[in-house]
Amino acid sequence: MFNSLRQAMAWLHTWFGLVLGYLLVVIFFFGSLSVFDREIDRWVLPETRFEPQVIPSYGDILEEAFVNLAPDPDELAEARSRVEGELPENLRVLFWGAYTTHRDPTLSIFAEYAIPNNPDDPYDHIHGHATIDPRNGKVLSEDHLNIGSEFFYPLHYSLHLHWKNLGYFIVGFAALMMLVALVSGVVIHRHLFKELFTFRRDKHYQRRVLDLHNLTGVAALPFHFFFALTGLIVFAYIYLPVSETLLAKPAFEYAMQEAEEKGLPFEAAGIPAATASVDEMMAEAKRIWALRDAAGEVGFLLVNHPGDQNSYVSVFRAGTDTVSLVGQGIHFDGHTGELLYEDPVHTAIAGLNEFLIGLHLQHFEHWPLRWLYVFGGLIGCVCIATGFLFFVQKRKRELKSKFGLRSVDAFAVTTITGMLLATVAILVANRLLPADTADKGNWEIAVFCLSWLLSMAHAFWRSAALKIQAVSPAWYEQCYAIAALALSAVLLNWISTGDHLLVTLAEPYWPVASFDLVLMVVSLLSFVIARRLHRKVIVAPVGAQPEERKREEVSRA
Amino acid sequence: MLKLILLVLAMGFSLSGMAWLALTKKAHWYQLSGERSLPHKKPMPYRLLGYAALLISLALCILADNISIAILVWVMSMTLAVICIAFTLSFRPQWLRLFVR
Repeated sequence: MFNSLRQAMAWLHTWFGLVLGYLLVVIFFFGSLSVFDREIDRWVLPETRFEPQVIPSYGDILEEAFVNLAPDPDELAEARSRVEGELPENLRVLFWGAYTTHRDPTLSIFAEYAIPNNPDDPYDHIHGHATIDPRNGKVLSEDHLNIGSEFFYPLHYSLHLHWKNLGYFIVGFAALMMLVALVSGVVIHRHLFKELFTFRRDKHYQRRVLDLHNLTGVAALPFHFFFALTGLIVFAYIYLPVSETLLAKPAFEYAMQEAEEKGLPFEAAGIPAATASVDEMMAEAKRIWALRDAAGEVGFLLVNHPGDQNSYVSVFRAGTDTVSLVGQGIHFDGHTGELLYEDPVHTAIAGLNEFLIGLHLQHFEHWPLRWLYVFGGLIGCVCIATGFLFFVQKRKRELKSKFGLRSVDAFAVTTITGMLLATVAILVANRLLPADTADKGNWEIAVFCLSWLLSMAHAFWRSAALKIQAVSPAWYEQCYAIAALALSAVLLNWISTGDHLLVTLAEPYWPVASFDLVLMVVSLLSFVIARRLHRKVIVAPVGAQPEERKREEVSRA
Repeated sequence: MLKLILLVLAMGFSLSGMAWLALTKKAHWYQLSGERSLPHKKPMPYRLLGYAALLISLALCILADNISIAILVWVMSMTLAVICIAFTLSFRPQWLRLFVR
């Protein structure tokens, strides 16, 4: 079928890149936004605009918040169908947990509850989750959507398609194909190092696009490779769930054996007992870390079997200064408060695993690196989009049917400007909808989806102009819309909260100030691009193909 | 503050390293000097300077941060440097005269 390896790789690179290109642009774009998900959350939820907090006192705040936490109503309703008879009023708590990072003013708390009487699964359980203000324990409204961490971020890794984890599998397949595209791209690139710095802006359009594709692909090759790979590693347990299927029994037995070796009770004793001071345990953990020359804050707290004689408390150090998320776990007897077990220095394999996962999830404190990640992600978008544009340009003449050409162009508009349009539209909706709107989060998501659909309809409608001009007006019209919406978002933030740039820069409150600045840059860039594209269309003489226009100009001359 | 200075220096060395490496390529030498071929004695010293600058950049990153983070910063700084040098060569090649003797 193919005469050489290079030909085979070129086929692979082109067709998989084309099929998954649209999707990969979306994954890369929302991944880039997720680097600053917590900061976007601050922008959209003005009541959470305060300084990041450490894990609060257990006695004063956390215990009450944990006790008041309830199982997720949807999970509870589903669980009722799995059990024999009625579920008890109060489900037994398996654990309470709290997780925070150096960027979180609010605190995420969660719990796991045992589901008794399930004939198929004696260890059946459901979850509960809430976000609290760690300064006073007040629960934040569930109606409000953390657009950064609860919408953009999951869109990046699951596309919000939760049925049978379909979204995770689609994104996983795209990541795998990204790896294939990178390897095949390296094989087909004739001058990988010789042309590393090459961008010939004075050459023809197709050459420029290919140069840009090669430049962004090769310069950011380590970033693309490691992010596609680590993205797969993060969700390996979903793609290959052997410990829950084929190897469920040995995995369970191993977990029990491991708990026994560490002296950490695997199951509750069923005998009620008072809990010792968790605050003292957290203080002791911090003292031990400082002794090990790794002073730090608590990032993750777990209270296992609370209120039981077998209860134990696990305290993990926040990975603010390392790539791994959390570490140096110290475990205490929940009833007596004595130290039970201190996690040893991890093995090389475990260390590598933590590094690779931490590299992708980036909970560390390093602002320049965060911006470099955004840069890498956006470069990835450029790489994929230029690859796609190159393909289309090369085959424009082969696309005999006008409908084929129009659809390809309309899909490109929808993916690039449509995605940006929907992103700024959800921010505008967030500032326009009153804070007490019932189900506010769902309305915001509806605006996001509707804007994207409208941009698609607009792109198809305006692509009719491709019969007479080389650029669809949809490109620049949507760029104008993005410019207007991004600027409106900044103004609406000012009007609705009073936090304009002079205030946020003077304070300084960087999450809001920098997001406003980014929106202003997006607005300006979109406007400049729109003007350029618009002028090009007006200036260019009417004619379907650039070649025809050239011939016309030559004959006129 | 010291950390920021170290990181800015590391970025500077990444940029310089990539600039010198770019100048060992015929096409980029032409963009800068207008000469079709590279002078015989140039490529090796520039190549060595380029790699040395990249190593100094790595050392500065390690001085600034924990080694696991430093490696990520270094790799990403090189990515940024390659893109910056490529666009400088394309739009303002004369700026790279700084690196030529």
